Amino acid sequence: MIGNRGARLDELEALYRSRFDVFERVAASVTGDSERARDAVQEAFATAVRKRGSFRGDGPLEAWVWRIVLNAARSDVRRSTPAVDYEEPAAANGHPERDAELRGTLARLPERQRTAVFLRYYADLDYVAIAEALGMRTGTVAATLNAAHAALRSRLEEVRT
Amino acid sequence: MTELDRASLDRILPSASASPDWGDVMGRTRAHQSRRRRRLVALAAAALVVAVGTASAFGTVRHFFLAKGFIGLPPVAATPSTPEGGELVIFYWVNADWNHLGRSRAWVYADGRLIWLREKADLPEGANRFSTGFLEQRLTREGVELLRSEIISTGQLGHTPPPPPLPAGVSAPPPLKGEPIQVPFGTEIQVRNAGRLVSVDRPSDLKQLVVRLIDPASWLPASAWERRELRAYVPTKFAVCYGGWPPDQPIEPSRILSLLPVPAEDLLRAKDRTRTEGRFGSPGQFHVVSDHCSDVTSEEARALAATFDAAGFERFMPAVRLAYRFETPGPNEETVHIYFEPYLPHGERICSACG
Repeated sequence: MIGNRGARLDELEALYRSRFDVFERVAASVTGDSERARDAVQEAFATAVRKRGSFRGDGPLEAWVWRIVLNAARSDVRRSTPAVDYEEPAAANGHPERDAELRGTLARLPERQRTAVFLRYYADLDYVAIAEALGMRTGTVAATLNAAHAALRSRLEEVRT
Repeated sequence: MTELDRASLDRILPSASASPDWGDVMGRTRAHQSRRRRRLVALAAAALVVAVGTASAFGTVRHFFLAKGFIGLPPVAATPSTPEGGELVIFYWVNADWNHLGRSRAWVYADGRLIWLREKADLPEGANRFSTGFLEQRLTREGVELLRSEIISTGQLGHTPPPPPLPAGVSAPPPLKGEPIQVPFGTEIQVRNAGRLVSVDRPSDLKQLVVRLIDPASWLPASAWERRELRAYVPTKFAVCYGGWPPDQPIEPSRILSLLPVPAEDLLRAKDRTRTEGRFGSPGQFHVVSDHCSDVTSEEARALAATFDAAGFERFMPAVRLAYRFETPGPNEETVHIYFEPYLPHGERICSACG
């Protein structure tokens, strides 16, 4: 590889249009607020457009963008009230009680563990992409997810007993 | 069981607040660039106020001449060479490898400026040991005439038709003693004569002429010099050129521009561009490479270079020119190269990496 691959504008736009909801909703798990999450996603994509020449291409483009989105969301949190919980969805279908338990326990996880969970099980990223998005080694992703599972299992059991 | 399936997570995450709005993303991008430009303008204005204030304090505008050659772009406050334009009266591009002096190019103007660029000259005033960068001295009117006479007196000017090409595999016979020799490939010597630049085709003693042209200070009298000390030649404008590699896979200029950071893309799209063709290789094995070039001011060139650096584009051949490269996206093994070249007073864009 000689230099950077760079990201094309049309690639970024296609990613934005196809995955906007996923980016915004996972960002909301960091900011605790959909509006602020949307703002973070918009700012993050504007940053990605400006800096697209620096995308090295040694990982997936989506992972590179995720990193920018999560950084934007964390910056938002640092600038304002820290997110301790994220807002409830307007309508919770399925299993309202179990969903409330899960939401509560996820909210109490450390931010990196919680974000790793959403990236893996909601955004459907593989370990390599999660590692790039969170700035950690691939091996650490597995450990982080294991820790999240253990914490969730323990807390959900506490809630139910 | 921790119930970490997509459906559960989908239910507990807040729903998206709005539809995607790519126009807003692009608007934010432009707003950021505009803020950055305003900051730069404000900084430049502040610098100007300081500069004017300082100059006023000294009662005159102070010049900042560079005593050492540079590669690429000059420092911000460097004083450009004046006047901006000039009539070229002598040009030479000679090779003194036998003397370990490397290749040297020089341009002499009617106003006395002698601008030159030499490779492998480890001069204290040179940019580095591979290239001096463009250096400038100033001759008197007498000095220009002495240099011109030296060239004219030692060679036949380009009125003689060149000899017919030799058949393949046949070497040119060695010249008879004292007989003028044909200027070899890679050497050019031109002087203004009867109102036009003409080539010297058959100098009587090419080696001696080359040695004298490479170092005019070694033989021109003191009266030939208005300013003998060296300083960097600072152009008033540059060309930024871009193209694809390998040369048999040309990349459309609009595609190259779309791969650049937005500020660079915007700046270059707004400029006229010209196609330029060059050759590399050796006789019989030349490859043609075509690039596209746009003229930019020094400030624009600096802004572009800063953008390319910020984007992490790789610099290459840094000892001889300011150039960048990066690979294009996609399966083709293509590389985009971007480089900056100075303009000389006679309006020619010069390849600074060509020896």
